[in-house]
Amino acid sequence: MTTDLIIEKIIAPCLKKASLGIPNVSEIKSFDGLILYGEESAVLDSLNLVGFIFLIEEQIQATFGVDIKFSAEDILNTDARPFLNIKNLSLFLLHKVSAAK
Amino acid sequence: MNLVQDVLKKHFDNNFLVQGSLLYTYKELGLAVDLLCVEITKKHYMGGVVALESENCFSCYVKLLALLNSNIPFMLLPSYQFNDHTYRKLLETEIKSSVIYFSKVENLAEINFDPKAKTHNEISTALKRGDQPFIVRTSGTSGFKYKFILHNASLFFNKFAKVGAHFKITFAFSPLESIAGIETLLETVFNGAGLVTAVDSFNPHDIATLISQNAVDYFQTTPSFLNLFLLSGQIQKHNLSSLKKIAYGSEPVMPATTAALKKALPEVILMHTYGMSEIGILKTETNQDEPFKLKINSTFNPSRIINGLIEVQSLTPMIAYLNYENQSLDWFKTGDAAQEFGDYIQVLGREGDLINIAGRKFFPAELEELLMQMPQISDVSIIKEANPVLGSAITAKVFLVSDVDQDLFKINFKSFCEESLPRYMHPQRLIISDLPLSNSRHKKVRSV
Repeated sequence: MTTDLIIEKIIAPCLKKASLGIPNVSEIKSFDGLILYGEESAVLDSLNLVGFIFLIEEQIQATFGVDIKFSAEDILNTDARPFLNIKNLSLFLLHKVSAAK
Repeated sequence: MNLVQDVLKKHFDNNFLVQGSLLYTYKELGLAVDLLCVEITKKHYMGGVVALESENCFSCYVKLLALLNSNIPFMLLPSYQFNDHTYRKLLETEIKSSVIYFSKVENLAEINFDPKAKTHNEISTALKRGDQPFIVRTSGTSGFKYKFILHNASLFFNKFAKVGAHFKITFAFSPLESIAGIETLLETVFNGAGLVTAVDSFNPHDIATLISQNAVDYFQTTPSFLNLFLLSGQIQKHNLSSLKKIAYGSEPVMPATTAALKKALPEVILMHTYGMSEIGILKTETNQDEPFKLKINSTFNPSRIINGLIEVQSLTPMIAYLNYENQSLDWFKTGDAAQEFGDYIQVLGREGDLINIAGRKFFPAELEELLMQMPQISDVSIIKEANPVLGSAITAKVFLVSDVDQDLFKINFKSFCEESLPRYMHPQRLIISDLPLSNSRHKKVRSV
């Protein structure tokens, strides 16, 4: 498994679903330089981030057949800022999915 | 002359409020309150309760302080309830009083009192006693049922005098209609301190910018906002050296949150606050090594744990519930579970239907009522889940009327949420059920 696979199978479909279904998420036209959460230009804000996390968990279950849950420790006690951008998130998810398999 | 006006005059040289690009001084606040009080006094209060559309802004603060100064009972309503006529009827029935409504943009000087206005006995008695009454709303026990609570503002001023000034500039994070929002305003004004407001108090970037630009030294917030703040990386990106204390309450705090916060801001004192709408915010001491543990200050608020639940005595107890059976106020039974660690406790919170999104609390049934306004929805059930980031997360399970295209509905649902619901009420997950819902709370379900 690679980060490219995570982006293709998990992150990209979730971003599409988020822009269609999660309130206050705008249409995402390009992944280049896309900031997910935490910066002024981010596509996700504090309140719709959780909806996006739900989508990620469901997509991973549907694609890889594993249940992963994000804990507070996962999200907070890291210097990696997993939801900052697609690169960080793909690395974070690769680690989570590999550990769950 | 009244306590509020006396207090404001003491601080005329100080800055009061930063709201966007505007700066208001205590002199401006004091003069605006004085003028409004003169106009209100001319109208001769004859009964009832004034309901203000609530927002953390200069105009709302002036109205609130003028009503308080004029000893006219008031309450604050968030916009979505202020504009809901069903809610208005419910409110008037529950508080057994006539209500005079003033939106954010209406001029309170134009108020007229009705000689036939009804007033709840508890409110009339409080006024005769010389109290400065105001009403806050809290959660009920189950279903769409709120408790309306009568408070006396004088007790809060007495408390602030005992506690003493402990910050210079704070941030108006809590909604003004909540007990925390009102306390933040009154404590700021009492001490002649500064207040900073934001249009969107859930935006970590904006809040970090405002803290940095305005030298905020005391940030009162919720554990789930702290999660979002930490996760956003904004703490590292801004100069937050002005911050001396961060206070968090309103929901249980996770050890992971306080550990991450200590790591990110090692010089800042962490304050785990504890309070309820019925008793105000209590004076507490926080264990700085394990800041998810607190000690309720026994000098100000004696407390005890009975059968694992917190009971307290408060300097600011409510006068009474207006629509609910009153319990003895000697030891107030909070209903909050706590685990004891020597002198300290960890608050575990309450079970029940109540949804708590970053400190904003509401019932599933309340959101269901709002979503039922969508003509495509035949029935809806709101399901609460614990969530490590926000505290609670919301799933909306809907059963649609026949012949509704599901993909089109999802788009409409998104638009409805964006246009008609407060941000914190947006469901994080939508499930479209193929079968009628078996656990509907609605008496009237639309025919399919």
